[in-house]
Amino acid sequence: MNQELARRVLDAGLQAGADFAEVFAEETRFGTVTLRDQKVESASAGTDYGVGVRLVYGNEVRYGYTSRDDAQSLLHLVDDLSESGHNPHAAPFQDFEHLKPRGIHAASIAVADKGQLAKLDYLRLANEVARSVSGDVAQVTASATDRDSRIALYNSEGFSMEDHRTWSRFSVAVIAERHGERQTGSEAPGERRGFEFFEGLDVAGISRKATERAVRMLDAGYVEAGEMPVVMGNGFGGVIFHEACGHPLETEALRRKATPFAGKIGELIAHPCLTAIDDGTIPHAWGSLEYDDEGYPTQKTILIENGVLRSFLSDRGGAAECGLPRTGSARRENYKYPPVARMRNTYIGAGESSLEDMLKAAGDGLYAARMGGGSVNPATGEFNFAVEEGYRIRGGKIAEAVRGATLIGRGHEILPRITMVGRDLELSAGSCGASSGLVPVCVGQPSLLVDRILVGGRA
Amino acid sequence: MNDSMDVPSMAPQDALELALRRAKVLGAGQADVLYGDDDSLSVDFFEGRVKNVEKSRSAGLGLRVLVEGRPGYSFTERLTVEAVERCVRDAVDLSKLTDELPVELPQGWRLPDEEIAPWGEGIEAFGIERMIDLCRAAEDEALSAGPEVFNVPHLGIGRSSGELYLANSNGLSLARRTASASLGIGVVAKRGDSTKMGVDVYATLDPHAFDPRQMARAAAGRATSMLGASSLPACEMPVIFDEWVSSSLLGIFAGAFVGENVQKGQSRLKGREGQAIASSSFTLSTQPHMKRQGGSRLFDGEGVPTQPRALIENGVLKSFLHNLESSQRGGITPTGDAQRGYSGKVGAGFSNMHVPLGNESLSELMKRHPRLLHVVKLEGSSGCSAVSGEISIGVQGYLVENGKVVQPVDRITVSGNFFDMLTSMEAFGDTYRPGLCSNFVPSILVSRMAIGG
Repeated sequence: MNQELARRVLDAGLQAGADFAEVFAEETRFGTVTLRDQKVESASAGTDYGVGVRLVYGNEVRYGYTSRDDAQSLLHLVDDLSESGHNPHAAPFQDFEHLKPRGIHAASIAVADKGQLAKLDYLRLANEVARSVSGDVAQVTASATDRDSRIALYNSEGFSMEDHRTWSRFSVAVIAERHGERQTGSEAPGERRGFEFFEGLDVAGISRKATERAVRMLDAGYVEAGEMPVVMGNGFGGVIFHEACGHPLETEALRRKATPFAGKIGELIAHPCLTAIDDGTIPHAWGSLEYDDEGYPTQKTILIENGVLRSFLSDRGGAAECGLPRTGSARRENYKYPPVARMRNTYIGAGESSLEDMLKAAGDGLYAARMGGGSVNPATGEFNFAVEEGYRIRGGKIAEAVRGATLIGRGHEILPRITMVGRDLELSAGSCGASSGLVPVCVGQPSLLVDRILVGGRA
Repeated sequence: MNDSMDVPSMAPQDALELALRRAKVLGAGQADVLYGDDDSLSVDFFEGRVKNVEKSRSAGLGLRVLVEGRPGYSFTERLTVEAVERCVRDAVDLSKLTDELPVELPQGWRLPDEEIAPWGEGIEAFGIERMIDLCRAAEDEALSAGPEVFNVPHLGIGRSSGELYLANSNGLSLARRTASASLGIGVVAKRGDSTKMGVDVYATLDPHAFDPRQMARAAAGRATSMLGASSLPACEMPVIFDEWVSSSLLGIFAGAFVGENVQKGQSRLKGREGQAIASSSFTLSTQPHMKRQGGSRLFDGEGVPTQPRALIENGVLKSFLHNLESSQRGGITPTGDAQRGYSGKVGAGFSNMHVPLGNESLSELMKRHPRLLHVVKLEGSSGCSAVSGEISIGVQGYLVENGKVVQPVDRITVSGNFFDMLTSMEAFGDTYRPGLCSNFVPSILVSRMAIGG
């Protein structure tokens, strides 16, 4: 974006009485190729393009965006956003100080240089491997997506930054069928990398994993409902912590008094075996950013340390309003959203227990090897998650596969019941939707034991 | 970023024409292009003050080319000549990867004069000051709705208006506009250890139709009435899916009625046309010509005229939802159910999902069985599959005995199979959820489902 125009827009914002003004310009290119069975089902590309302008008056945010980037449209937008109070004597800010990211998460091979066609070999491999694993495979859908984003950020404190961010993701979804019964299994890893992500990926391994899960669940019976001990599998199982504890730890929730963790910093809120972290700095991880969407450096934030609440996740406004330090957590899907505090790579830290010990401690319960999706209401803490791959635990050992299980509870009530944490920490890529849109995040955890949780199932 | 500020964006018609012309030059035998723009304003309110104001004006163009029958898709939100030309090149390049599609785009036709579209006169004049007044009234009312009301974390109001243009290489050129406003409120109530949130949402073509105080009382009432909820022991019993959730439940399984899924073996309804698949009192249709409703449209996402049509009529499966690709694969006349935004590919779906009203009120439905579950909230759909019909879904609601609510319930799941549920729909309520909608589904009483918790 043109620096002079940015300055004019920011000046206009300050003259309109805003305490803080910001311009965020974005051009993002997408490319997706999807293979269903042997055929390319779709191939698409696209460009997101636009400019967002944010004016802050005290704790009130006024945000506008437009895909028209001429001076007239942008100044008109500022006019629309302004409050009636004008401040013609607002001090213009000093010269922009340019920040240049080091490129910690930069791509080394641009997908554009390879072409979308180059993704086909990996997609075909996923299909072939899935079909070689089992004769029960009815359908394989594989897709490879890349997102290449260039942003420019300017604010009225004289800050300016340009960043180039690349994400690549590969997904495989397998439907297995036997005697009219159908089950699905899927995997979808992603990283902050370019084409080298696809080159380095164990496509055969993830395709086999998804297929084996779908086939195993074909034989599953229904789980009986009730409260029981649950051992949760590593990796994507972290989605429950993300939804039920992570969101209430964002300053957005605190600002709306919609979190059970308000005023609890320094208090024991979880079992002492539990440490939870939100880390935006892991090199090339799916949820990492060198600088957040307000240009603040991201950090590794300890949320809960040995059971004690240490920190919330904050953006500029959240930190100011709640009197907390900034954590570099401001994020937005694209120029259509003002940034707010969001998670990056959120995980429960590794502990010392083995899976065997946890199964033994559970005795009779459920092993939720892989979680599916779910829903949560941060204001009440209530959550509800489907178990995609589940097994009964009997006599301290993994027994038969079960389907139809859901885990139901409230986040702050579950934390003290996580009493054993495994050594097998793993992160898993996901997509998190909230008030500033869909952003790439990792969730993660080692295997862990929840002493008691309500399992929804069948009579 | 490129330093190309001040390069003017193109007018919609010019962008459409350029895209079609370039597509032809680059060898696309057929092409269609969609242009959408949106102008919106919204206000978010908390504790007597504006929290956020958002204002936007954005647009985008989406293109599909068919080069020797092979499809390629691309879109751009940058609307300069250079960007549109690149968008066309991308789509043509991508078409080389794909297989031939049996698609014959429609010829040009003129829209009839009748106005059915959901377009509210004067919506653009619905301004910030009025929005703030409405929010303030809603918040005041909610906070005074009872000693247990604790917080109003979600309160937002907004308006949105837009235009959509669709053109193709056969001379088709159509347009429509939309404009509506909506208000939503979430109220949290607390009693001891129990915290519950109640919601109300209302969308309309007429911003003068909002009744913020009534909405606030409704949301507060929903929150308060759920306080002290408990789980139920596993059992089977009749279930009423309230009009607030019945369309969401049907929506989860809408994919089973999509022609493309049927052809690909992803629906258990394959080959069942003409057979009774549901209770004889159940009719499910797509009703695109309803006057001034959210899902109303005269042409679909590919420019085919829409047609009101029953998919299930008195329990018998009649038809599926088709776009051009699936109708032409299936050898049937296009039905006009294509759905498409500028950045996505062409799907198919309902344009106003419609189930006729029954003739019993909710309280009459509640008296039909000595003991039943009245579900008012669904929690996530990931335990459900439109392919297998499996239902395993967390819910909240009320246990009803002899027509009277005896206890709020939460932390339970309702399970069963959607295709079994179709045959055990016993009766329907006599009202639809209020407000501008694209789903018209009354409360549904299902004679038996499994409850676990």
